[in-house]
Amino acid sequence: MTSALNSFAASKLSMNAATSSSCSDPHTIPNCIARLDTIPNLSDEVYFKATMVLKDDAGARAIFMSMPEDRMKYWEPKKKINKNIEINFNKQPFRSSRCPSAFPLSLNPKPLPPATCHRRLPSFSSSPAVNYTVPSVLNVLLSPSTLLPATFLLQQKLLKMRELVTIQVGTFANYVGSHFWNFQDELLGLAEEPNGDSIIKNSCLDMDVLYRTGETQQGIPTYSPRLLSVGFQGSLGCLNLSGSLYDNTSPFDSKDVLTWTGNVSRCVAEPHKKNLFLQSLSEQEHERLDVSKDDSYNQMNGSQRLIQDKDQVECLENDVKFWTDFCKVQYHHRSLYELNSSWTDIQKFDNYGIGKDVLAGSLQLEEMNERLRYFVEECDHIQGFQFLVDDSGGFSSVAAEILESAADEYTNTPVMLYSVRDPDAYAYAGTQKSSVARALHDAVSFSRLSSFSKLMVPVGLPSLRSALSPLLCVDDQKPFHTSAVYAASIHSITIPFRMQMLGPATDSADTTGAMDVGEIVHTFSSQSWQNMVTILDVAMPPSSLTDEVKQGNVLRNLRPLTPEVKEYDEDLLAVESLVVNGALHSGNHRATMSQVKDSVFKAYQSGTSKPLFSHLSVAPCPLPIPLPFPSIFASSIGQHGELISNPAQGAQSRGSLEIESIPMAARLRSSTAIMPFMERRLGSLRRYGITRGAPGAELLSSWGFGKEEVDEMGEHLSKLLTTFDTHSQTSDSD
Amino acid sequence: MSLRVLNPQAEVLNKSAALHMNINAAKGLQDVLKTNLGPKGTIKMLVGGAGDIKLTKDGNTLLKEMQIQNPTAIMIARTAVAQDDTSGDGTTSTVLFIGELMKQSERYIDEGMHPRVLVDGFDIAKRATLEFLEKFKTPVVIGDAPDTEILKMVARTTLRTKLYEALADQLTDIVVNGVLCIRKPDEPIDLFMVEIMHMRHKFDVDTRLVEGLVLDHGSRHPDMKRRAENCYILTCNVSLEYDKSEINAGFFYSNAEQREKMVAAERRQVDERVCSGEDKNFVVINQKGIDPPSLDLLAREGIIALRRAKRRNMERLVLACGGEAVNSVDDLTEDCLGWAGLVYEHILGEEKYTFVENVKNPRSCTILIKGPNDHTIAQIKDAVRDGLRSVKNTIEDEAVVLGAGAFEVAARQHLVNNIRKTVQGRAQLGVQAFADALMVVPKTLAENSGLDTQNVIIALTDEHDRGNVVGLNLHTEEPMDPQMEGIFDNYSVKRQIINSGPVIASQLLLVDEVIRAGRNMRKPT
Repeated sequence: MTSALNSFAASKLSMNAATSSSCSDPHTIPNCIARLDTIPNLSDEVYFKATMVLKDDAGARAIFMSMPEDRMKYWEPKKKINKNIEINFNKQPFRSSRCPSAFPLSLNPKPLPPATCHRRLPSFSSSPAVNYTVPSVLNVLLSPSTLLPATFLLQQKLLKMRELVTIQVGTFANYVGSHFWNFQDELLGLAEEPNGDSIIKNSCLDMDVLYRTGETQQGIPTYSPRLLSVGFQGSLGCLNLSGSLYDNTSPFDSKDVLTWTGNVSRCVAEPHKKNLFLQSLSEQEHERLDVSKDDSYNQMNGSQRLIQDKDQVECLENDVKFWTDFCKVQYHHRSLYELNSSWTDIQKFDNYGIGKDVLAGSLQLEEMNERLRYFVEECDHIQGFQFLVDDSGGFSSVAAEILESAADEYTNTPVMLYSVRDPDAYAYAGTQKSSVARALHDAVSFSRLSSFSKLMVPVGLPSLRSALSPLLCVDDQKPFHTSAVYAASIHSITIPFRMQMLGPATDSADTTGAMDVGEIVHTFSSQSWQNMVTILDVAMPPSSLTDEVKQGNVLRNLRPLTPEVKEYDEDLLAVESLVVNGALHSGNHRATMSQVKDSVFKAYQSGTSKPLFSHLSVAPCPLPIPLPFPSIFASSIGQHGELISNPAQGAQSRGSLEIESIPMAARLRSSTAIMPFMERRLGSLRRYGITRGAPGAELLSSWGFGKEEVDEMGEHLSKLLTTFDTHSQTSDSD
Repeated sequence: MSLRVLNPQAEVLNKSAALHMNINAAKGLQDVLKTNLGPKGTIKMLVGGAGDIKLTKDGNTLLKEMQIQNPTAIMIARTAVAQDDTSGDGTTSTVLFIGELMKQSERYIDEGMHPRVLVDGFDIAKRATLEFLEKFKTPVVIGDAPDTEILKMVARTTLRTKLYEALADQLTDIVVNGVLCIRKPDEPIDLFMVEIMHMRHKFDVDTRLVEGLVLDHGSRHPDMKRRAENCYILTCNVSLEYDKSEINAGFFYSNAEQREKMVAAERRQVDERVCSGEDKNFVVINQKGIDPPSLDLLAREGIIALRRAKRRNMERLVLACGGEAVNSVDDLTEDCLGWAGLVYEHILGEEKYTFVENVKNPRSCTILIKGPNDHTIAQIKDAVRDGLRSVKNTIEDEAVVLGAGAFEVAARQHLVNNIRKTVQGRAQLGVQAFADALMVVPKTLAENSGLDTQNVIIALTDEHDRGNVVGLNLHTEEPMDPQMEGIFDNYSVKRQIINSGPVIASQLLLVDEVIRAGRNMRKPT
C-alpha cells in the first residue's frame, strides 16, 4: 500500500517537481490539515518525514496533523528545538452518553489521547517570504524525494475537501436537523473511541465537509457544525441562543448592568427545565472539565449510568417539546438565529404571506445573510448549500428570501433543498377558506422555493406509520419520531458528498461513488428529464444481501418519503442516485463493496423497469444510532440492524439502547412519478389564484403578490412540468 | 344574534365591555413601558427561559421582545413600532400617549359621553397641535456646514435616555461625526453608510469612530501581511475560484488565466509604483470568493487579499477610500484603486477584523462598539442606531423641538386656553381630554425621577401661563429652560406621535362589538 501510494504520489507530483525539489515552501497552502492517520500502513520513515515537511519554522502557518498515537514520538525532537510548540486537541469533548470515555478537553500537553490526536503549530509573527528551513540537527534526513508523500497528502486534502454549508429554516426543519447533527456527532465520537467498531473508525467520511474548526477567545479549539438555523423566538427551549461553546461570561459580570446607572428592573422568564437527557449531558461535561482524576470513578458509575440511559430514553419518548431537547451537539454562537415573531401566534404562522410580513422592513433578513456569509467566507471551495426548510408555514417565505439573496450573492454555488414537513401539517383544514389558503400556500411556496434552488427534494408524508416498512413503528403524532426518519435518509443522501476521493475516477477500497453537490445536480439536470424535483426513497433498514430472497432486494425495499407520488411508476427515462451505507451480507456480517455492487446490479437486472441512468454510492459505515434517537424499530431488528429470525416476545419497539447502528439505503429519483405532486400544485394555483374570480385571488394579493407575479409563478410551475412532456417515452434522449 | 347561529362558540362582547377591554389593554401596555421613559427611567433586563440576557431601555426593543397576545395591545404595539421604523425613536412616547388618551376618554365615557364626540374633539385638537408644533419648533440652519452644537444636543438628549451619562456623552461626538462624515449636500442621508461593527473585547468606553472601514474578516493566507501602510485598494466583485461543478479542462484554464491576469494587472500597478521609488502596498477586497491557490499567488506578490466582503461594504469602501468597484479585471486602470494610509488586522480568537484607516476624505465610516458581553454590546448598538437617526432627522427636518416636556406643556396650555373656546359643544371635552393626555410625558418624567407629579405639573403650567417656555429639571424638580440645558427632541418624532396616537385611540374608542371566535382574546399581555 505504502509503496503504491508513494509511486502514485510521485507521478502525480512530477509536475510540481520544481517547487518540491527546491525545498521552498512545498505546501503552498496554509492552514491545512494532514490526516496521516487515515492512510494505512505508512512506514515510520514516511511519518517522520511528513512531520518534518509540515513543520514551518517561520511559524506563519497553522497546520493540524492527525496521526496514530504511537507515531507521536516524531514530534519530540521539534519540541526541543522550538519551545513555542503547543499541543491542542482539535476537537471539543465528544458529547455522547454512549461513549463516556472520550478523551477530555485539555490544554495540558501531558495526557495523550487514546487513539488519534491533532496537533497544531501555532502561528507566530508574519513573514512575507517563507523559506523552508530545516533544523540542522535533522537536516540529514530530509531530501526532496521524501517530501513527496506529505505534500501529496496535503494537496489531496485541499483539492478534495469541499465544504457544505447547512441552513435549517423552520421548526420541523430544525427537528430534522437536530437528528442529523446527532448522527454526525455520534460518528465523530465513535471514531475516537478506543475499542469502537472499526467500520465506523475507518468510515472514510470527511467530517470537515460539514464541520468547521475554530477557537474561542481563550484559545480553546472548537469543532462545530457549519450551520445557520432559523427558528422562532422561544423555540430553542433550554438552549442558550449564543450556544455554550463560546460563552465565557461568568454569571457574576452578567448580572451587572454596565450601561445604566439608574434603576434596573429584571424580568426573569421561568427557566425551562432541562430534561433528564440534557441534565446528564451537562453533568458529563462538568465531569470532563474536572478531568476525571481516576478512571475507576467512571467505571464505578457505569452501572448507575445504564439505568440512567434507560430513563433518559424514556423521558425523550414522552416529552420532547423543543428540537433542542434531544440535541447533543454544541453549536457555534452564530449558528442559531431567532426570528422575532412580531406578536403572531405560532398557530397562525401558517401561510406564505405572514412570513413575508415578519421579514418586511426589518433588519432580520440582513442579519441572517450576514451570518451565512460568515460561514461561507471561511470556506475555501464551497461545494454547495444544503437547505432544509419547513415549508408548511410562513417559514417557506423566510427561506425563499434567504435563498433569493443567496442565489444573488453566491451565484455558482448549487443549493440542494429539502422541504420537510410534519405529518401535522396535513391535519384537516377545517373550513373551506383555510383549505383554499393551504392549497395556495403549497403552490406558492413550492413555486418560489423551486425557483431558487438547483435540486429540490420534497419530503414529508401525511403518515409515516402506514407508508414505511413494518420494521418501523413511527408515531406520527411526535415530530421527534418522524423527523428521525427524515434525518436518517438525508444523512444517507449526503454521504457521497463527503467521501474521500483519492483521485478522480478512482475508488478507494472502502467507498465508491463519491460526488459533490454540483455533480449530483448536474446528473439530474442533464439527463433525460431535465427535472429538478426529485423523490426521496428510503429503506430503513434494507434487508441483508442474503435475505433478499425472502425480503426482496434493496430496490424493492425502498419506500418514498415524498408525498403525492405515483406508486407504480414505469418510467424508462428515470434518473436515480442510490446510496447504500453499511449494508449487511448475512446476519450481522458487513457486506463488502463489491458484494453490494453486484447485488444492486442484479436487482436492476431483475427489476421490471430499469431507469435510464443510475448512480450508485456505497459506503461501509452504517447509520450510528445515538442515544437520543427515538425507539422506532420493531423488535425483530438486532443490534446492528440485522433481522432476528425469532424476536424476543413482548413486541416493544426498540431504540438506541438495544440497537447500535443500522444499515441504510436511500435514493433520489427523478421520474414521472413526481408529476402528480407538481400537477396538484399547478392545479390549485390555477383554480384558486389565476382563473377569473378565483376564490384565492384576494388572499394572494394580501400576501403581496400582484396578478403578474401569480401568473409568473403559474408559468414557472408549468415549465417544470413541461420537462416531462418534451420527450416522449420512446425518444432516445441519450 | 346571527353570529351565534353561525358559530355557537363565538363570544360577543357588547359595546361597553368591548370599550373597556380596549382601554384596559392600552393602559396595561402603558404601565409596562412607563418606567422606560427619560434619563431617569428604569432599564430592563430580560432573562429568557434558557438564561439568555437582553438589556433594553428602548420601548421598541422591549415591545418586540414581549409576547403580546391581546389584539388591542398588538394594534398599539404595531403603531409604536411603525413609529420607530419611520422616525427612529418615540416608541415609548407613542404607547404612553395612546394609553393616556384612552384613560382620559374613559372618564368622559363613564359619565355617559359618546365616543364619537370625543373622537371629533381629538381630531380638532390634533390639527391644532400640529399647527402649534409648526410655530413652536426651533428652526435649525443646516446649509453646508451644520451647527454641530445643536446636532450634539439632540443626539445627547436621545443617548442619555439609553445610556449612562459619561458613555452617552462620548457616543454623542461619535454619532454626530459619523453622520457628518457621510453627509452629502443635497442628498438624503443613507445611514447604512455608517457601518456599525462590534467586538466582544475590552469595555464600553473603548467604543470609537473609525474614519474608514472595519471589516469583520481577514486574509486567509498566512503569508499575507498583517499590517501595511500606504495601501492602494482594489474593490472588486470577481470570482477567483475554480468552478468545480464543471469538470472541463477548458474551463480550468480560462479560470487560471483569469487569475494570472488579475495578478498581472495588479502587479503592473505595483511596478509602476515601485519604479517611482515609493513604498506602497496593495490590498484586494473581493465580494466573491478567492480560493487558496489564488490567495497564494496574491500573497507571493505581496498583495493583501480579502474575500467575501459584505455587499454593502463594496459601496462603503468606495466612499471611504475612493476608486471604484470593478466587476472585471480586464480594464483595470489606476483610477479604479482607492487609497488608505493604514490597513491592519486584529484577531480575537477566531474572529478577525481588518481595519482600513487613515483615508483621505472619507464619505463612509465605522462605529466600532466594544463591550465585555453580548447584551451590553446589543444595547449600545440600539442606542447608537437611535442616536444616528436623531442626527439624521435633525438635518432633514431642519428643526428641533424643545424637550424635557416643554412642548407638551406648552401645547396643552395652547389647547386649553386658546383652542377649546373656539370649539362648539361637547367636542370641547374631546379637546380637553387630548390636552390632558399630552401631559403624560412630563408626568411620567417626574414620576420616574421620584418627584411629586402634582407639584411639577402646577409649577410647569404656571411658568407657561406667565409666558416662559420651560421644561422639567429632573434633578431639582424646578422648571428650567430646555434651551439653556441643551435638551432638544426631534421635530419629526413629535409630529409622528401627535399624528398616529389619536388615530389609533379613535379606532379603539369606536369599536362597539368584539367578536371572539376561536382564540382566547382576554389573555393578559
